[in-house]
Amino acid sequence: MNKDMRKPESNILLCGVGGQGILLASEILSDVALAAGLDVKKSEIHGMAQRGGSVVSHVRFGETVYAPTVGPGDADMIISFERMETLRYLPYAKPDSVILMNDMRVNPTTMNIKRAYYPENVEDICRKFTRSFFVIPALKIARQLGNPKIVSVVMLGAASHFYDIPREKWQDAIARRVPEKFRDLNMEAFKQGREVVRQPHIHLTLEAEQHGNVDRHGTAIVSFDQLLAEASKTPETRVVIAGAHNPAALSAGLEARKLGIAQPIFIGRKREILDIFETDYNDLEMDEFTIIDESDDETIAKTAVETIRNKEADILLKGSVNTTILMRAVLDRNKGLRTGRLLSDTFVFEYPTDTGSRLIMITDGGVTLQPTIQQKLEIIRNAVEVAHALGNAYPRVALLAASETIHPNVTATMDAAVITDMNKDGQITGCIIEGPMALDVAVSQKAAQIKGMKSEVAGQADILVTASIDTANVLAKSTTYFAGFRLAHVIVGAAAPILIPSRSDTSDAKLLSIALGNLMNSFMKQRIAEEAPVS
Amino acid sequence: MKTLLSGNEAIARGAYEAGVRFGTGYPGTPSTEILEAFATYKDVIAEWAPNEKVALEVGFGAAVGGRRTFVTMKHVGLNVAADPLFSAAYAGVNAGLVIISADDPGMHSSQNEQDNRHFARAAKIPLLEPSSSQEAKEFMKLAFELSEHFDIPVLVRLTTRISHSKTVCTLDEPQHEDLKPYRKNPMKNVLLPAYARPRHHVLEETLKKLADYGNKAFQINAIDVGSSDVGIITSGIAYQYSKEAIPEASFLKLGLSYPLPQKLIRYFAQMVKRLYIVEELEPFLEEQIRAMGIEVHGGKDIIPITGELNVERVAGAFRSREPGLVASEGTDRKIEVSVPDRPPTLCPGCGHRGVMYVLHKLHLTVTGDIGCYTLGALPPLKAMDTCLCMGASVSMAYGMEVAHGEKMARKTVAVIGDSTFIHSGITALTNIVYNQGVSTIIILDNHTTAMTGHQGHPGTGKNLTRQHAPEFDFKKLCEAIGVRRVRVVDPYNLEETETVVKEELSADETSVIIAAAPCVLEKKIIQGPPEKVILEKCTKCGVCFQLGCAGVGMENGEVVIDDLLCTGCTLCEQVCTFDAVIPLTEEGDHE
Repeated sequence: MNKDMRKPESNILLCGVGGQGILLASEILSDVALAAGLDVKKSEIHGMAQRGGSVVSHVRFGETVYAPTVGPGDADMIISFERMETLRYLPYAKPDSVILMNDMRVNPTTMNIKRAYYPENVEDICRKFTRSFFVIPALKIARQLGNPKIVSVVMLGAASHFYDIPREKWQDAIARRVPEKFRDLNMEAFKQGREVVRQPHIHLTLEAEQHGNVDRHGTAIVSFDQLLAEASKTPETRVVIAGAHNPAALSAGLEARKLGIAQPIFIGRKREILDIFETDYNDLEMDEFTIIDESDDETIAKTAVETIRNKEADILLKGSVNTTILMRAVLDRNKGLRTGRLLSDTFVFEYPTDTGSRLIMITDGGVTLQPTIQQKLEIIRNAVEVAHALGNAYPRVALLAASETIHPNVTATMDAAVITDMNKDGQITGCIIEGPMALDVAVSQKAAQIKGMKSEVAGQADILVTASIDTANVLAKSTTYFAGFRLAHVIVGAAAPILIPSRSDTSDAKLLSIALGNLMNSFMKQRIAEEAPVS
Repeated sequence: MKTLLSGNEAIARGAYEAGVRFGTGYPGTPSTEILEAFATYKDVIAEWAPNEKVALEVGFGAAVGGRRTFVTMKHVGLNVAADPLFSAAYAGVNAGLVIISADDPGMHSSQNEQDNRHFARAAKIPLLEPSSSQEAKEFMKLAFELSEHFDIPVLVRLTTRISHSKTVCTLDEPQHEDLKPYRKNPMKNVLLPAYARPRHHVLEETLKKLADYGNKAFQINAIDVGSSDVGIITSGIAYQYSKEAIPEASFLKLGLSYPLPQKLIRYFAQMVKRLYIVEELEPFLEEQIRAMGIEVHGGKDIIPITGELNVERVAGAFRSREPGLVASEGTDRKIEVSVPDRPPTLCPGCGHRGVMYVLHKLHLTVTGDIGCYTLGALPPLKAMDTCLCMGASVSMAYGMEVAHGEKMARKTVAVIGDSTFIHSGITALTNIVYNQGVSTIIILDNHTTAMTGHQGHPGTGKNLTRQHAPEFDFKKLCEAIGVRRVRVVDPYNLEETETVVKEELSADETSVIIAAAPCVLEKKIIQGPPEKVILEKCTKCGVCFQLGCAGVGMENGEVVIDDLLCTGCTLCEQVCTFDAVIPLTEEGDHE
């Protein structure tokens, strides 16, 4: 960092597009300088410029300031809220200027009519102008904190690092300008903005992530066909079928193999398994399959868990084996698949939209009867991982209740409010959570609009979290039985994805579940690889 | 207590500290926030008048009645108020009357960059030019003192950079001003020729006294002694630029810049070897100083006459003349890519868009007016032929008709906003009816003064402090003027709008179409679910781009609608001939 920059005298340009919070940021910046005992001048243009046009605000402070505007080649710092606008004001920079750029693109309307291009190599051009150029993932941070409007405070946090003005003065100035109820949120935004430039390695990973996910749904899997295609990229995944003497489970395993989604390992009553082969699949060579002959449920369960522990299989699929017995084996303290996390079921169905489809998740309809708030956090974490595995980097999570009103006597609504706050505070990351909200508001834009909700989640929820097992179970099954949607589900939280299809599930559902398990498995492996210490 | 105030806020504060409890004006960038800031103080009356002329007349009435009053407007507003202004100088005041003119060098939000210092000279009233918020506040108090002491209205001239810059200000306690008694004085207040002639003599005497005052008011007309080689006479924001560009020069900073303090100027001129005059826009000081026979080493020959000044423009002007005093030019660092423009546009969901689209589609000649809808002149809507001044759309449409006859009238419409219509359109409409024109006038009634930041006006039912007020009825007014064909359309219904426009264009008499749609920005209106493009049906024909909506764009080669920007106004759905745009609703969209 250039040491000269740290003197409390500065010419700062804040630029971007109308409505991005530039004027608020420049107000706060001016307040900070005034509180630091400096002369301050701030200038901007109101009126016509506000209507979606390019916006710039000049802030100057020091011992005595004359002109209210910064001249070309005279800006010590440029805080840009939009990528292209950075270029517009770049001639104001000098070789030692600090340039902080929010990684956000807003297309000008002229692009549609004049075939104007949007400059792509913004970073390269900026780096030619100054040594101190930072891309700040402010929009991403703000979204993670649950409020895209706090971008300006994230940017101020980043700027604060470059001035010898006590942190408290910044925080006081912010606190005075924002409503009381958003104070903590803004403090967190400020902190995270400051961190980005203080710890460049964080900034770099954030930047990388940001670029991978410019379009939130661009890489996300939106249909089951896509899910199958994606899963077939890792044909080496192995699924162990506990109780393979069940025609549906067995055929799902074979279908998975055929589609290159997974290699099945059959555990169960070999006699019965071979019978099924003989009647239905006499064209297949038996030698190519691993069949482990076990007859009682308890041994079948233990053996299946063991194959996973021994890394001979990646996914566990329940066939003809008693669920309680299988889960007991999974949860065995010494020989099971425990990870210390709560297990929960994430149900996925394909929801048709006017342009195609998307995948919606419902949880938890399978494990915890009446989850406590702590357990709900675990359930959300599990479902969010499934969403991440499906390529949805920022799933929208709706905490379902009967209405949007928070009532002290209704635990579901109280829990939802607390969890929503925790998400806004940055305690739960990787998703945007809102609640309580009724199902209609969660999934219908129209209902959300009628009820006057314009939130990031309402009308477009990816994950529906219910307050009890009954609700999730009934809601999930109603998508299958009333609406006829295809489904898949997976139990997350153990050392491997566990698939416990309902006995009545079709082999299609079982196949899709295996595909889902396949992606979960790859995701978990990748995460373990990333978390492992680099030698 | 030190605080940051914009020039506009400082003017309001200065008025309040001067014991002023009444202010009126008409909104106009960059002056608008003055009255809004004033309204936040206790026990004050802040009002919007329908136009600047009315505001100034109300202000003059209040001042003659005995109450300290200030009147605010943008530079072009003073043109409208010029009639009362010139004569008020003859009559003089009773309690203080201060007029604020906020000029807009650089035309950030205006149709011209006239220099209203000329008005002070033309109307023969004193002119104060603050150069910071602190001065704006102090000069406001001084303005009332001068107004009452010299019995004359005072003009305070701000510029955009003064109005909209926040600078450090020390606040003082407000003083109390008693209402002054009103005494009948027709010889002074009735400007009959016989009474006005002696008043002119009085006025000339007053100006001499004011000039004399200016020669001694060293706090206002301040000399800052520096180099004995170079002296700069300047005023307002130009002082700040010059002081930064040429810090070592001597300065004569004129706060009271009309009438000129001639003795002081002569004194300063002989102090320095080379005298320069730095002023933004017109050579207002320069011409008068040259006329005094004083040698001016540099003025408008080096300082640009057009546009806003800044430090670099002033420094650049002095660089060749006084190389020793000016920092050398920074290296010119240009970027090698051109950055596409990002002009202001009508907001997504704006009610003006439908009308503009229809007018463009019908290839009409459109006389336009001042307001957000002027943005409809820009591509792709390109639905405006003229825009001159407040109310001119209505008069000009009739002028076109007179020029080319009825055939032209069949292809011409005037578009005017609700606030603008009340400001200056009513008399113009009366003219058409009276002279039996067949022009078609469209009143775009968004129920607010939108461009300046959503101020109330007589058609909104809300006053300046957003309290209830009687609501002006456009339809009844037009009928009362004698317009028999008054139609109300929903501008979000393109078919209806087009039909009605065609019908009224073909009518054999004056007609008015009221396109009623409240401002989406003010009321944060969401008309319906956001729209969505069905990619399979979209042929990328680009007709939806012709609406010029920021919500409709092209990304990765596909037409997309930004669901966060879209307010569901359905215009893009209506113009799409391939049914490729539909509302983003779940119900019914899939089986």
